[in-house]
Formats: sequence, structure tokens, C-alpha cells
Amino acid sequence: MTGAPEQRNVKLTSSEGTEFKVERDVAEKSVLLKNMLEDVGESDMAIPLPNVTGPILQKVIEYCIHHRDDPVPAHDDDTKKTDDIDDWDAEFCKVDQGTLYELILASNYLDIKPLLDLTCKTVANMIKGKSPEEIRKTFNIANDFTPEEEEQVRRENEWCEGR
Amino acid sequence: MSSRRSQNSADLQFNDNWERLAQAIREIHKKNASILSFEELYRNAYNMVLHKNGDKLYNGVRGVITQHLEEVAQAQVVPAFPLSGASSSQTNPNGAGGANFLKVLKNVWEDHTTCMLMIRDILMYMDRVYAKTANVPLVYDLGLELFRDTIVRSQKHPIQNHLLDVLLQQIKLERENEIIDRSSVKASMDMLLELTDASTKDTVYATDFEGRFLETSSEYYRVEGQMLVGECDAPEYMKKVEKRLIEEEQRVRHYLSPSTEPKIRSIVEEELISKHLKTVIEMENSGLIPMLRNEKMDDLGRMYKLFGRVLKGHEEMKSAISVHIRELGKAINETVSSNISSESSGGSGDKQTGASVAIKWVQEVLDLKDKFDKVQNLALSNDKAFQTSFNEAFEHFINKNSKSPEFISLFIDDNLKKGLKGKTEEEVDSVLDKTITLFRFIGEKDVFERYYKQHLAKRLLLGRSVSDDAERGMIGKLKVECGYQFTTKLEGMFNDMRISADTMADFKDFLDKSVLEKPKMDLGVTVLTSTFWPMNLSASPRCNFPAEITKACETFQRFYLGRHSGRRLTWQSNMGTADIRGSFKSRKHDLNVSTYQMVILLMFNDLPEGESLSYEQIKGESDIPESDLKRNLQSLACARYKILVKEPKGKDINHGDVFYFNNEFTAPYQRIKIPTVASKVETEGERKETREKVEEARKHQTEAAIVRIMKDRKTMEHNNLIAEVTKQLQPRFVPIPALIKKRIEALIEREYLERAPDR
Repeated sequence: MTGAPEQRNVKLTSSEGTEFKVERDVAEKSVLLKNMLEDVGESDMAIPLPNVTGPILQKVIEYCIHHRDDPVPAHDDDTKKTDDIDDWDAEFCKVDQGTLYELILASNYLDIKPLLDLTCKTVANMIKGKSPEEIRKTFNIANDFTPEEEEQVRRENEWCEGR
Repeated sequence: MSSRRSQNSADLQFNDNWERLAQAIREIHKKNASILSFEELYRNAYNMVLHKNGDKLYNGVRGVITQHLEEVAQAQVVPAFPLSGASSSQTNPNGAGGANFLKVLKNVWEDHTTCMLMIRDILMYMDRVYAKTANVPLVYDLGLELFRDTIVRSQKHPIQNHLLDVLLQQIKLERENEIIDRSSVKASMDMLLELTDASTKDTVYATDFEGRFLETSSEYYRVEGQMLVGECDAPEYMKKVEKRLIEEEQRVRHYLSPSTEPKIRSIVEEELISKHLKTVIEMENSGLIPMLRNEKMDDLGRMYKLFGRVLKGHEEMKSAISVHIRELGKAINETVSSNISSESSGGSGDKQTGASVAIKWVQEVLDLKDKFDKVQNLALSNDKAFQTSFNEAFEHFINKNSKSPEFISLFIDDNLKKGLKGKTEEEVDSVLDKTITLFRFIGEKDVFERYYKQHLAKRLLLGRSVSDDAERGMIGKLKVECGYQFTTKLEGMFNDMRISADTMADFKDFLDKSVLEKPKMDLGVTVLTSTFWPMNLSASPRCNFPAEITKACETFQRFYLGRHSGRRLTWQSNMGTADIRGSFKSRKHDLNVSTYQMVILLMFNDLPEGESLSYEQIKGESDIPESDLKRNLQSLACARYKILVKEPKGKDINHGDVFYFNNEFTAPYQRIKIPTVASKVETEGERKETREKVEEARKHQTEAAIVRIMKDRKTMEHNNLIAEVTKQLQPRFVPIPALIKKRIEALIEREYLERAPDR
């Protein structure tokens, strides 16, 4: 189809009350919003999204607009890869860790599968190929293992190391 | 990995969230969904699942829905039970109560599914995250299970019994031509189809309903079948069965599952068709045979279609019809043989009747064939299997009549004879085409060939063929059936006729140019190649011709042998005709007679008026063989035109009879044809003779076949040889193994074959 026929706008309200106007097909990238719109029917009432802050909602909408014409992903294949992120998406994810986590939560809540995958992959890529120490550093985690415990964990996971 | 400190507040949070959700579900059940906030409920469920309280949420939802359904069962379903004993509403003719019950159930079901759709949407996150990982049904499916266990299969209320009884009762009512509310029955069926049985993974429709439905149907149709067989005649019975089959098919289409269709169909087929096959076929006055007799094509067609549905149906029909054909055929054979025997007991009898018996036989067989072709065509959709079985039946009874080859040949003879019955050429052609189909059934085709040759010879020599084209057409048909070999001799006969015509033209020229004294009469000679024609050279009948005729014959013989050296001519005096002029008291008549009759009549030429000749005198002077003489005298003295007068009067010719020339003879026409010996059914003696000739010919054919095969194969097992010979001879006749064995031995004796040394 060229040029959406009659796009009704949908209003969304973030947790702090900021109102966003998006076109319906953009909003429907979220399965939650899609179902809701179908069940409740269209109205001029803004849909409150108390779980999402304004800046995050802004990011999410940015993502949805960019991907509005993507085909609906085929039933999720389990062969997930972390190296199939295109340039725009990679750029999109260059945010601080806090924002990244909030994006994960928001995409889970709004049920936007591609965004959830993207953000989770980004986190996975942050872990990939790093030593425990480096990981701890990256995610700011205190090492609460005793040396004995640490040794045991290392032994249990020996099989997957040394590649 | 939440810390312990937050546990309490999380519990509180949970209780708060859950209370709100439970309340929302209740509102949905009350159809108050519009007051709820979708997002808020979703967020509640989301938070609960996110905080690992998915199982509590899930079980809570289960509890709320179950409670609601139990209330519904108590408050709505139970009061709608039809007014009847707990489970035997079948005895209660009150269909309306049942219909109402179904309507209530339909509403309950629709409400439930609508609610479940809404509940599913607000619990979307639970479905997506919790149900999948915890391996429990999605919430909508949970709703179906709860409905199944709390309503349809309720432990507290006999809903299931009522439901099934009502459904079966409604179907029964419809079977008895009452109008029922199909839509509410269909709603219940759809409901049952949507619910799944936990253990079998089949639909509740299949586990709870279908079995009982089939059981009651089976019982219903068993009773109906027995009743109808007693009450109806066959056509009516079949109409009812047909109607039932259509009804059941429609019923399935309208409100049952398509998977039930083959099952209920096979029940109706089993109970109404299979079980009563024989009874219906054998119904007196209306079964299969009366249908055939009265040519009830519609009924036959219906029977064919219906019985074709079940395993043995066509088999039974086929064998019944086949037996019927054999019986009819037997009856035809019997009338013929009784006709013939009554005739032969009446002495020499009228020869024409013999032929007419044959013709009647063939005509009746043809009529029968026509009739069954029509049945085959109109009622049996040209089923090949039926055709084969019909053909076998025809073959069976046609070959039961040992005279059938002769009869068929006579029938053809009758149709090819000149100027008969005012049939057009096309009609004759179509009759002959049909006759060929009978010919196909004959096992002893060589016997037929022999008769056909005889009859053809007479037609050709006595000039009675309707036309060359018709004769050739017939031979063409036989050629198509039996091949070139079968007809070479017949074609040779035609060739002789043509060559003879040329020869006679030359002979006339020869006489015109000749200085010799011309014969006082016209002589027409047909020269026959002895191997083509059915006459026997060595037994060629003697006959003393009067002098002038002998002279004419000799002139021709000189002429002919002068042109073709090394040939031998033998006069076949029994085959010719003569035109003579007889002077009677009132007027002169031209008489067309046979050669023998001419010889006899010429004897009276030299006799003074009033004198007579005795049988012995005639026999002595003419030397005509006795049976021929008797026959010819009979046609001169005892038939329609009495040229001679016999003393004593009577129909038969006996030794000592005396003959006078009948000077008083009058006839309305100038030209009179004295009926020549017509083709006729053979007498016993002749039959034996023919038989012997056929046997002799078979010996040669068998030997020829053996030699042909052995030349090709060099060595062969005895049994294989017999099989091969049988196969080769099949188109002409069916050889018995003993005959083949004898021939093999004869060939060994004459050193054409030898036994392999290692045997």
C-alpha cells in the first residue's frame, strides 16, 4: 500500500503526564496498544502509560516510526544471533546503561518484540567475550563469591571455556 | 533475587493488585467491562507476573472463573432442565423443553466465550510470559477447560445427561419429520466441538456425543429397516432409504461435525441396505426380477446406485440378474426344443417351420439382449462389471443350445434372402450387427462357419441373395470378429460366382461362333472351386439327365476344359434351377423349378395323357438320391402348386405311390416358382453328419496348430503345449484336452513329433 489511507492519531501519556501523538500504525507496533485499541475502540482519550517515562517513550516511538513498515516478524525462530544488528539499530542503542534497561522494561511491557530483542542483544553483546572481572566492571557488580565458591563455579563451567 | 526485606510489601502489593483484577473479572462477568481501564488491568497483571507471582495470579483467575461458572450452572442451566426424569427425556415427547434448554445453554456458552476473550486480553502478559514457561494452558483454553468441567461435565448437576438426551431427542424428532430449532442444536454441537477432552485430546463432541449418537442411530435404523422391509415394496423401500441417506447427509452438513458423515452414512448403509440386500432383491412382485420384467428403469437405477454403496450390493444384484438371464434363456431354449421335437414326431413336417423356429429363437435371444442392453444403458450407467456378467449369462445359455450356431446362421440367411418382410437395407444391417453380438457368444465358431457356408452356397447358387453388398458386408463383419482366415473360403465363393459370370459370357460367344449344333436350351453353369464350397465331391449326387441336357453339358465341358487344362468338372445336380414351359389344359405356364424337378417333369413329357409313373419308376430312371427325390416330389405333388397328382393322396411320399401329370392345373400367374428345398433345420441324421465333418475338420486344425507351435518352439512341455494349442484354437472352438492329446499322439506316430529322450 502506498500512503496510509486514513491515519487516526493516537495519544499516549507518559508517567509524568507528557502527551505524545503518534499515528495508529506506529502505535500498533506494540501488541499491548494494538489489543487495547481493538478492544476499547478508538477514542480521543489519551492512553496512560504509567510504566514508561517521557524520554523512554520518546525513544520507543522513534524506534517504532523507523520500523513502521517492517513486516510483522514471522513466528520467532529460536536461532537468535547477536551480530545481525543493522547500523541504525546499533546507533539507536548507543545510550547509557540506565536508558538501555528502561528500554528493555518498556518494550517488554508494551510487548514490542523486535525492540525487546534488539535491546537484549545489545546487553548480550556487552557481556560477550569478557572475563568475569571485566563483566563485573561493566555492570558495576560487586564480587560476593568466596574464593572457594568462585573456584567451584569455575570448575563446573570448565567445559565451556578455553575455546 | 529480591531481598527479604521487601517481601512483605510485595505481598501487600500482590494482594492489592489481585483484588483489583478479581473484581475486574467479576465486572466482566456482569457485562460491565466498559467501566474498566484496560491499561490499568494489564499493568496490574504485568506487575504481578513481573514480580514472580504468575502462579498465584493464574490460580486466582481459575478460582474466580470456576466460581462464576458454578453460579451460572446453578442459576441458569439447572432451572432450564427439560421437565422430565433425570436422564430419560427420550420418553418425554416434550421437544419444546429441550429446545429451551439448548437455547439457555447456547446463551451461557456465548457469554462465557465473550468474557474469556476480554479476560485473555487483559491477561495477555500472563499468557505470554507465565503460561508459556510454566507449561499451563493459555487463559482462554483454561476457560474452555473450566467450562467443560463445571458446566458440560458438571459433577454437581446432571447437565451432561440432559444435554446429550436433548440433542438425541431433537435429532429423533427431526428424523420423524418435525421441525426443530437447528441453530440452537448447532450451537451446542459447536460448543462440544470446541471443547477438548483432557485425556484423549479429542473433542468432547467426539468423546461424549458421537458414540451415543451413532449407537442410537444404529438402533433407530435397525428398527426402521425391519419395519420398512415388512411394509413397503422394493421401489418404495429404496426411495425411503435414498431419502434417509440424503437427510443424514444434510443433518451432518447443517449441525454435526463433518467427521461424523462417513460414520453415520455407513450406519444407514449397513442397517438399511446391507442387512436387507437379499430381501429387497427377492421381494415378490416388486423385487429385482419384477423390475426387470416391467422395465422399471428408474427403480433399477436407484437400486444400482444404492446397492453400489455397500460392499456386496452390486455382487448380489449381478448374480441375481445373471441367474434371471439364464432362466429366461433356458425358457427360450426349451420352447425351441419342444417345438422341434413336436415337429419331428409329426413326421417330416413342414420344413419352413423348422427354419422359423430357428428364427424365432434368434429373435427372442436378440430381444432379450436388447432388453438387457437397455437396462445396462439406462439403469446401470454402463457398468462394465455388469456387462461382463450379462455376457457370461448369455454365453452360458446360448451354448447350452447345441443348435445355436445353426440357428444363428439360419437367421442371417433369412435376413439376407431376397425380398423379405419389406425391411430396408439399414434395418437388415442393424439386425445383422446385433446378430454378430450373438455370434460372439458362440463357442463353436467352426460349426457356425460350416452352416454359414452351406446357407451361403444355397443363396448364391439359387440366386436368392438380397444383394452382393449385403453379403459382403456380413462377411466383412465376420472378418472383423474372427479374422482373415475365417472368411477366405467365403470370399472364394464370391470369387467363383464372379468368374463364372465371365465364363458364361465367353461360353455364349463360343457357341455363337461355333459351327457345332447348338443345344436346344440355354445352359448356365457356375464353376465352383471344390475346396471353397461345402459340397462333397466324392459323394456328389448321381442323376441321369435327359439326352439333350447331357449333350449341352458335354458341350460346356469341352469348352471349359479346352481353356483350362488339368481340371475336373463334377456336376452338382442338386444345386441347380431350370426354367421350363409347361402346357396345361387352360393355359401355358413358365415354371421355375430345381434341376431334379426338371428331370422328373421331363419324364412326363414322353408319357401319353392319363398314364402314370410309379415312385420306383421315377427313382430307377432318374437315379436321384432317395431323400432328394422325396423332397422334390413333395414340392411338385403335395405343395401349393400341384403340377403332379399323387395316388394315394397324402402329405408324405412313400414307396409304391403313383404320379400323374395334372393337366387341370391352374394358377393365376404366368410365371410360377415351385418352392425349392428351403434352408431348414437339419434332421438328426444330417446333424450327425455335420458333426462328424466338424470333428474331422477340428482334427486337422488341431494338428496344424500343434505343428505350428512346435516348429516355433522346438521342444515344449506337454501341458504347456496343450495350453498354447487351446489358446490358438479358442477363436474357432473350445478344444477338449483329450482331443489335443490324441492329435499329439497321432503326430508322434507319423513322426512329425517325438518325445524328448530324457522323458
